[in-house]
Amino acid sequence: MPIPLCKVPSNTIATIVQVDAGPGLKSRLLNMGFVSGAKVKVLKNSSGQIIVALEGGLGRVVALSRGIAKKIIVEVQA
Amino acid sequence: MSVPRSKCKYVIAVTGQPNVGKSTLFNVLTGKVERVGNFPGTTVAMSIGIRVHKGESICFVDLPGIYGLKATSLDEKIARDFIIWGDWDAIVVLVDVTTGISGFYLLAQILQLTKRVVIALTKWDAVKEQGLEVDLEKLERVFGVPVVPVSALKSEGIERLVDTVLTMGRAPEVIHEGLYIDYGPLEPLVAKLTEVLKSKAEVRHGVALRGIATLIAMGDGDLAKLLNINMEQVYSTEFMRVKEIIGSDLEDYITNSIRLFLEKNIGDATRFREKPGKAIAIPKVFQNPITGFPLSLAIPFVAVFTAFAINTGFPFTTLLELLGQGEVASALESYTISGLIGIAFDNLKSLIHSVLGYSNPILASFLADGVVEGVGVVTSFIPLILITLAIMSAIEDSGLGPLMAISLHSFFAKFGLSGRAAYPMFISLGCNVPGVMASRAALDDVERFGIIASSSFIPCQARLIVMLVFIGYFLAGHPLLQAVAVIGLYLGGILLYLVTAKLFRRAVFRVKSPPELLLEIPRLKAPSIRVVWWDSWALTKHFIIRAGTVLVALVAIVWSLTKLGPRGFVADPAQSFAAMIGTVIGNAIAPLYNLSSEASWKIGFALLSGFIAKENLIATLAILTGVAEESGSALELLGITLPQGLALLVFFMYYIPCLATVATIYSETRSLKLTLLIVIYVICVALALSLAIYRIALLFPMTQAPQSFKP
Repeated sequence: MPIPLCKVPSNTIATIVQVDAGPGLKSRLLNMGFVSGAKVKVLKNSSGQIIVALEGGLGRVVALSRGIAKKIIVEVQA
Repeated sequence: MSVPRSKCKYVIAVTGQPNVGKSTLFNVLTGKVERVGNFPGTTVAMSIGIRVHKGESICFVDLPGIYGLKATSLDEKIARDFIIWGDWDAIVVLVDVTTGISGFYLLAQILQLTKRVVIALTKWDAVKEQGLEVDLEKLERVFGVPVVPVSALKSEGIERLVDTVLTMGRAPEVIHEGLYIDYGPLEPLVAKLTEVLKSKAEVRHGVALRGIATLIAMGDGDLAKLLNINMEQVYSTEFMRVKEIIGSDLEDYITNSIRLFLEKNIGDATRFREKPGKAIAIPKVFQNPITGFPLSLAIPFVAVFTAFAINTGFPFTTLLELLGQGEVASALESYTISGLIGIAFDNLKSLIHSVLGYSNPILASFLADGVVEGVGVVTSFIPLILITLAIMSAIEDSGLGPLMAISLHSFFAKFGLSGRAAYPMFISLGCNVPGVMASRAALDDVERFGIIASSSFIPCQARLIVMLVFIGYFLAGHPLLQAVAVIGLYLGGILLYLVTAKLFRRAVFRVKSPPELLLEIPRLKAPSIRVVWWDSWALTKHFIIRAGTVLVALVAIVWSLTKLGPRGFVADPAQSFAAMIGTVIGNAIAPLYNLSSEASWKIGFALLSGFIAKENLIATLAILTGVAEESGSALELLGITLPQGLALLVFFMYYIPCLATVATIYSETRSLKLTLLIVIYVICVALALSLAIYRIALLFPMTQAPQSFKP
């Protein structure tokens, strides 16, 4: 079931389904590699922001505020 | 395009994604770095590094670090426009293979535009250390361009890179096909756009129009406009139809196709030899909010503190004075950088006076007290700015910056700022001019302008001197009250900074949502001394040229105002033009604070000269009251009471950004309207605060000094 990235607990790998942001932010996310089908690993989901590693945990590490993480829809494998 | 072809046989553009190691490589690649004006239509400085290789000059143009070509900010526009229209012979695209597939995204986009590209795989030492195996031949085969692994840290592969680049630059220019990626159902649209571009687009010879068409199809409206393609009218129905077929956004679809192309073709080109490598570890101390927040505040604080200590000896000199060791303090101060500069310029001034003093006293005074004084003021700024910027640049180059930003973000977000705003705030403690320049670290323009508007509330080092003289005189013998006053003024400044940022975000830019954070966290590393020097020196030079010239001219004007009057050269400042201007300003504020007319014009003039440079405030008061040294005695002669003194102190602290800061605000915002708005806002806030302090202080009878105050 698709859920927003901000709801994914720490140390979980999720697959991006869709980026639901406005044009500018969406381009920035796509450019950085938040593309549908890409796997991201949530390294830390704390109250302030979410830290993820792209490429399923091996790629670049990005910190996102909750507002942005809310707009990235992902699917978590069972 | 402003690349000086007379100096450059070959022009090579260098680009790559952020944190790819571009500045370090750029430094190793090029010996001499020059800033040759700005990128066309922007205020962004273009840096060119020149390397002489086998007798031929190669100019490397430093393009901004970006993740992709689709424009979301000025950086992408600059890189995109330079590639499409610029005068270059080859492009070096840097790729950090440790970031995986998404690290090749920018490269794929550039290759769709041109194949006059050399791929440099950076941080090769780290790649080998991590046990990552890279199939270089496969990369060359898929992309159809040369691939050179380099390590800037160990200076490996640099010669080969330059050789490869030179071969590429020498090769005759042919119309290239860009990298071909199949966009399936979008093909008819891309083909149609390409056809249209063929008939009307004027781009750099050899740039593949299909690549431009792809960018336009992704929704780069800005690019379409530059090429006179009216997207709305001509293609909207076409776009809608395609959208229906692919069932998603065109930008999504194209980005996805590029990613799938990369996964399919080079997905197995990088492999871990043994165990897979680890993701970048974030130090625990930054992850914990209890330790991360204070640590992130402490880092820039210590940085600014160090800059202060090297530059003026503060706070050690102040401590020694408090301990009654005035002589030791002044001895120490004379050995600090600003002390040494002061001595040098004083010597120069007395030399001029002794040589010219008899024959032409007016000229001597103009040269010594006008010109030399002005150059001295600018020179005294340079070490502070350079040291502060160097420390900040070292923090940024080491990768600590983003870590600090994430630790501070939650706090700053309450005030409409992101964690990036901590920088300009702390730099402003040293000097508002680099503080305003550091607003470039902001996440977006709204945040940037918010920071620029707020910066001048942070008391800079020059204002600290004014603060200490006032507090030292009015609260003499009350060390506890003195400390409270100093801390209060600093906290007040920081509070004003935060509140103003929020106010400008809400009221001026009408943005209600809190700022969002989207920040890559790079691997921590030792900062490169050359990069740090280059960064900080470039910005310092920017200050010397832009603000410095203005300052020298203004100090010369101030000399004319104080030494000249309606009757020509005057020895007594009371007869000068300055007195007349001071009277106007002084009379305007005198009734508010119940100032005597004798004091009001002097304070009015001090305010005027403090606008030119804050540290002039006390000096001007000293000159006008005829006191030899910059101390509280000038204040004594003015007969100011404690409530008046406190009110004036608050006013002096916040009343207006100094002229150099105003000049910098204008050069950073490029908006006269916004600059004026900021200045007027700052004056109003300072006046309101200062009057409030005055009224409150009057409520306490014991604050009224016996000498001159009569209700």
